[in-house]
This record gives sequence, structure tokens and C-alpha cells, in this order.
Amino acid sequence: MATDRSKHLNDVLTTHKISKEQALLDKHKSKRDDIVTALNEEYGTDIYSPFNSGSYAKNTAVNKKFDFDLMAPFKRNAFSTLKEMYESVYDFLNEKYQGTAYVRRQKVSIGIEFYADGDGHVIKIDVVPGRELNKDQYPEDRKLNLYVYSQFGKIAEGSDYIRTNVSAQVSNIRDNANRNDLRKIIRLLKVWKIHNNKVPKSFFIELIVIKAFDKKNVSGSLWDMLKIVLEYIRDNVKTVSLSDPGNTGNEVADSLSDWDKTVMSDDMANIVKRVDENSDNIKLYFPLNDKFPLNDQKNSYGGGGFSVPPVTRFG
Amino acid sequence: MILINRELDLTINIDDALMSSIETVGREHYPKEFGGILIGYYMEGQQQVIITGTLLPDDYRSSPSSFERGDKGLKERLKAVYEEEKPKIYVGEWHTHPNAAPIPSYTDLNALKEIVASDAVSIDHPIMLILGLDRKKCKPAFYVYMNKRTYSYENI
Ligand SMILES: [Zn+2]
Repeated sequence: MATDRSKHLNDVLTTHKISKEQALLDKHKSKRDDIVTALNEEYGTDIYSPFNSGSYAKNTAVNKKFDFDLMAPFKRNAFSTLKEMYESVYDFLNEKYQGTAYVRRQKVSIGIEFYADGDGHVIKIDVVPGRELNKDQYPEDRKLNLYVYSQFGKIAEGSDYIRTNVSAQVSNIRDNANRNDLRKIIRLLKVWKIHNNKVPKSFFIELIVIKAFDKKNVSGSLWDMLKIVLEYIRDNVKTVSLSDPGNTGNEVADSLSDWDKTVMSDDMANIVKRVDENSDNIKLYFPLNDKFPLNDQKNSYGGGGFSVPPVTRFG
Repeated sequence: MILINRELDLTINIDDALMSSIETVGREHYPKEFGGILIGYYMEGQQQVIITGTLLPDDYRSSPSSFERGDKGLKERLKAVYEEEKPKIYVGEWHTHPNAAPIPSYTDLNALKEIVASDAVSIDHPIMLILGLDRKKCKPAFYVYMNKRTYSYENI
């Protein structure tokens, strides 16, 4: 039977609403607050206010993965090298959460994954340490230098990575209310990424979708819009420049290797081709979150198995 | 015919031919009540039910103001339609209201409550068709049981 592609995509979004995981969401917020307090206590005047930069902050999160990123902005003189900053934060978090969480070094962040609690909930928060680029300028220019712990796309291990004005990028997506469609498309691509174990970072996905909306007339039904974006990525991911508006020298497209870009282009081509061939295929790439079946959200006849009604009297 | 409850966004499809054969059976028992079960299947998403037929009871008791449907042999007959190439399942009930409006009585509401509560019933929201019959006319009305009450449908 043919699938109504746009209706299915809407159902995908509905079953991935973060509000369905309110308890887990609240736990993430509370752990994040703990970490902020701990960092402030440990580093005192060496640190500016940590802030959220993950997709939760950008209102593009899906409930399969909250993507709680915490930026920890340090002052220029707090550390002599970026490596020192990164290792200091790692050592502090590792010591603090020993016995309650796995603390790992990641590409540009330190991952804290708390052991499952009594509800089976696993809370994962990534702390991204950054040092202001110019002394005392962070409050003005919001420019931070990150330490690249391990190969990050085209960016080599051990190098610097300048991330500018993350707060502005965050609010750009969040505040633009008439870009509701843009957020829907970002969420759908995150669902694709999570369910299919794909490489591109959420940050990369967000920027390339924003670019597609800037370059193309993205309109029509939800499937029409998604298809336009998929085709844009298919045709442009290998060459597109995703430079930071605040710092054109900072090429975000470099966070994905050439090989991964080729794979992403092929993936987009496959989705468009196979969903056009057979509408049912959309479910392979964009599945519902079966933890929250739609029957719980909409009126439906419910059930549907074999039944034998009892003797019944009517009047 | 196609019926809808716009509040719930649920629809029912039923053949006109099936409707008139149900009316014919009901009329044969007039002025006593009569009824049977409705079989069919749900479409994907379970917001649309296709009613494909009725199974008439082998045992029943009836009067001008009440009808008790028995269950003799019902399980075997439901099994048979469930094993067809396109499986049909129990989706609800129908009965007549001779010389009365097709509006659910207190007894009818209670009946639906007991059906849903039964361990052998896997559907949550059975359909109930009531035929208001008089000598000349037949007024059918469809309902679904949900939230401990009935909701009516309109023709589209
Ligand atoms: Zn009745």
C-alpha cells in the first residue's frame, strides 16, 4: 500500500517530540546545572558563564538523543595552551564523576555519560571547553578557540579550531519563528542520522540545511520541502562552503572529510531515488520512534487482533 | 457509504448493499429487536474501519424493547473469517430499535462497556450500529465507544 509521505514525516516528527521524554529531559537539565555549578566553583574567575549550545538549545532536538552540549568558555590567560585547558577540564570532570559516570575524551568535547538510574535513564552531556581568542574580548566578539583532541573531519588532531559566536548561531535558529519548517527539516535529518548511524555532526546538518533554505525555494508539502533539501545536499555537499558569518576563515565544511561528504551525497541520492520509486521506502530512512506509538497520541480504533465478544444484551 | 466523526477524526466505510441486507434482516424480526456482530478490518493508523459483513447469532432472545445476542459457535465463525486471505475481525455490533429513535439506551452503553472489558476482546473502541425501524422507514445511526461514552457519526 502506498504511504502518504508527508503524513508519515509528520508522524515521524510527532513520535520524536522531546516533550514525550519530559522526565529524561528534566534529568538532563538538572545534571547540566550540576556541571555548571561544579565548573564555576573549580575555575572561579577563569571561566565565563557556561551555556547550552546543543540542539536542545536550538529547538531542533529529537527525543532519541538530546544532544546536550555545554560550552565552557575560559579566559585567555587561564591556560597557556589549548591542550592544557582540555586536559584540565577532562581531569576535573573525570575526578568529580568517577564512580557515577563514564568520562571520555571526544573530538572537541568531553563526554559525560552517567550510569543508568533507577528508571533505566542514561544522561549524556558533552562539555566543550573553549578559550577566548583575544584577551577580554569574549564578552564582545564571542570568539572561542577549541582544542581538537582527535581528528575532526579535515582538521588534524592537536590543532586549534575557532568557533565563533556560537550563541549567535544558536539564537539565529531558535528565534526565527517563521523558520518552523527549517527546524522540521533539521529534525528529520537528525532522525535519519540517528536511526541509520550516520556520521555528519548535528552542527554540520544544521548549517547545510540553513544554506539549502537560503539558496533554494523550499516550499510545498513536507515531503516536497525535504526532497528539495536532500537534492541540495546531494548536489552541493562536496563543494559547499559553510563558513561562519562571524569569521569567514572558519570553514565548518572542513568538519567532514571528503570521503564522508561523498557518502553523504550518495545517501541523499539514494533516499530521493528510492522514495520516488516506492513511497513505502520513506519508512526505511525516516522511521517512527516505536517507543511512542502514534495510537497513544491520536484517536484511533485501537487494538485490531482476533476477538470474540461475550454474550451481550442491548436495549 | 462513508461516515465520519470529525471530532475524533475517525471514519467508517460500509457497502450500501451490506446496509440494506442488515435492514432486511432487522425487518424480518420487526416489531421485535434483533441484531448481530459487525466484522471488517482497520486501515493502517487505525483511524478508518472497513465493515465488510455481519455474523448473525445462532442463539438469541428478543422482545420489542430488548435483544440479547448469544455466543454459540461465534468463536469458530470468527476464526474462519480471520483465516481468510484478507483477515476480518470483530469490529462491533448492530441491533434494531423498533418504533424508536436510533439512540443508544443506557443498556446499550453498558453493553459496550462490558464488551471492551472482556478478556477475549482485543479492540478498544467497538462500533455500534443502531437501526431505528418503523413500518416504512429505517434510520441507521453509527456510534463508537470511547472515553466511556458513545460518539456519533455523520454521512459524507
Ligand atoms: Zn439499543
